[in-house]
Formats: sequence, C-alpha cells, structure tokens
Amino acid sequence: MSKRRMAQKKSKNNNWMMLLIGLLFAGGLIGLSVFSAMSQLSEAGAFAGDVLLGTPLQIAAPTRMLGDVSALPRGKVSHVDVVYFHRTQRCTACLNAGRYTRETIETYFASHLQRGVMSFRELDVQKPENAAVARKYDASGSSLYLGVLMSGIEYLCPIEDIWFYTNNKASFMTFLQKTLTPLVGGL
Amino acid sequence: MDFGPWVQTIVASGQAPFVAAFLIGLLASLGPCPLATNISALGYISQEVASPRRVLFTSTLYTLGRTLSYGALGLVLFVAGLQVSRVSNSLQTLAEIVLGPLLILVGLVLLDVIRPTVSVGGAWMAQLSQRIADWNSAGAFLLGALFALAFCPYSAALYFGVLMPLAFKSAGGITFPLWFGVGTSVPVVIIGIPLALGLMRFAAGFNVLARVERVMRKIAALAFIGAGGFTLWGWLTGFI
Repeated sequence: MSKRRMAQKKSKNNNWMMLLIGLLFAGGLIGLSVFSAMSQLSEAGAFAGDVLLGTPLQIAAPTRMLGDVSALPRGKVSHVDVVYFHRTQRCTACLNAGRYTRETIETYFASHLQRGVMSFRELDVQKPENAAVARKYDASGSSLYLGVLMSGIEYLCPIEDIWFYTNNKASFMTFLQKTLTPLVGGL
Repeated sequence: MDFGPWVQTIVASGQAPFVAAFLIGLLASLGPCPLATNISALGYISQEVASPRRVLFTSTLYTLGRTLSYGALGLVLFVAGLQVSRVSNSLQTLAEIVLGPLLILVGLVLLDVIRPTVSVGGAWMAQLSQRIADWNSAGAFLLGALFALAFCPYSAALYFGVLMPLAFKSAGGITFPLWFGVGTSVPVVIIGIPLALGLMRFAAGFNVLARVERVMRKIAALAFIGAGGFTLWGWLTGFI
C-alpha cells in the first residue's frame, strides 16, 4: 500500500473517531438529562386533589403584602398559614415543592397543627373554589406563601427560594424548617 | 454539591448579581420542559453541518431570540408595572395550548409530510412553522423567541418568582432578564456546536455532506415531533 493511501485511510479513521466522540458526548448529555427528568417523574407519584392540614386563620384581619419573609416586622406571631399554590398542570419541581412542604410541616410542626396555630393548604389556583384565596395572595402559578398574623395584621409573603431546593428533599426540608422555626417558635 | 442551593448562595450573597441572573437561567434550562425545547433546538441547529460559521450564527440567533424575548417581557413588566401574576398566568396558559402542537407541526413540515398551505390548527400556525422550517437562521431566532415565551411551571416560578423580584430591587436589574435568557440557551450552545462540528468533520472526510445534511434534517424533524409529543403528553397527564 502506498504512503498516500495509508495517510488517507488514517484520516478516515480520524473522521470516524470524531463522529463517535461527538455522538457519545451529545448522546450522553441528552441521555443523562432525560434519565434525571424521568427519575424525578416516577419519584413524584400521583397527585390527589387539594390538601388541608390544621386550621387556617378564621378571622378577616387587614392584610399587608411583603416581598420576602425577611421584611416581616418583629413582634409576637399568633397564627401562621402556609399555602402552596399550583396550576392544574404540574411539573416535577412543582410536585416536589408541594410534597416536601407538606412533609416538613408534618415532621417539624405537627404540634402546631394540632393546637390550631398553624395550617397547611395545597391549592389549585385554576379551580374556581380557590380563586378568592389565590387573589388574596396574588398567586398565579406554583408558589409558596405564608400568611403571618401579628398584632391584628396578616402579613402575606412569598418564599421564592424554595425553587433552588426542589431537586433535593433533605436540603428543601432543612431550608423550610429554618425559615419557619423563628416565626412559629414562640407559638 | 447540588446546583440549586449553590445558585441560591450566589444569589443571596448579592456579590455578582449578573452572574446570579445568568445562573438562574441555567437552572431553569435544566427542567424537563425547557429540556424538551432545547433538544429540538439542538436538532435544528445541527442541520447546517456544511458550515461551522452558520452553526455558530444559528445558535447565536437562537440565544438572541430567547434573550430578547425575556428582555422585552422584563421591560414591559418594569415600565408598565403590570401585575406579574396576571402576565405569568396568561403566558403559562399559552404554553400549555400552543407549544406541543407547534413543535409537532414544525417537525412534520421539516419531514415534508405536510405542506403548510393546508391549515392545521389555524393558518397562522402553519405559516409560522413554514417560516421556522425554511429560513434556518432567522427561524432559529423565531424559535428562540417563541420557546422563551412558552413558560412551563418551573421556568415561570424562576422567572416571575425569583428573577423579577430580584431585578426590581437591584441596580441595573432591567438587564437581568437578558442574562437569564443567555443562561437558558447555554446547554444548546455547549452541546450543539461540538456536535455540529464533529458531524461536519465526519461528513467532509467522506464527501457525504449533502447526505448528512438530509439525514440531520430528518433527525431534527424527529426531535421536534418527539419534544412536541412529550409536551402534549405532559399537558394531558398533568406532568411537565
């Protein structure tokens, strides 16, 4: 075989290698993403309607909207409503957020639920019966809100940082527990 | 370390707000729904294996389309002070209804199965899909702009819930949606360019450029139909 043909053959082999590496690289990344999406789906499980735990605030106190929990004034908290909103069509992250929130409340704040000083609700914003609550909190899609009653005023504030933790149950629960404990500790 | 909490520490530190906005976008692009749109965009971009410059151009235009969409939306929210919840609501409804069928339609046009003169789901949708299938680079821009506006629950939570409140209270926050947009397109650029370049090397080596291009068009079409089916299935079963 002439030198030239050998060189040609070598370059063809190189081309095959390039293709193989390219396809493996892309295929691997796509496969990994699809796999992680699928495993999250199967973990999320089925969803069955709205949820209500504990006793939501019964009196109609004047409300004030806050941008964040950190903006809450200091003072004695007398009641906390935790409301998780979602749309009828739900994503894995949104399913996780609802489930993890419920589990955090059931695990760390069970006595508060029993004593009626705290509540947890999971509501579909697109259901007509939930429209009034959604309007009160100004909720549209998946979102977690607190309604904190403090000296006769109900402060409404979103907890947006949950969206950084929806992939990991343990860190989600730790984050939420750390956010809620200072508020309801004295209850 | 988990990516989400890591992004949260960057956001909370307030040290690098533009990087934070970019990372929130990147986080959004890893959700299952942006993944579906990004995979179809990937197929679309790698069709043009004949010219690396065009691949670069197409992916840049796709990124630009996404970025401008998010930026324009952010601008509207900033200037008009519209109720964020109402805008977020209608865009998510739009995504639920339009995205799946549109993806499938573009796929079918790319496959030459249907001629878009036949109006499937309204003449404007057929026209739009023909545009996207025909002019590749400009189509990429259109595709990016459209995909950006098709909010899924997770990307909506990050854009309307995390990014916009951050933008409202930060100096220079008006540019945050742009950085977010770049972040959401990064996976396409990172995977798409090496893929297209590898394919080009391969095809040029064997003198089968035209054939590879034809095959890539078919693969892109299948990616669109697959992603459309995935989105539609998600809508019907309530998982996306």
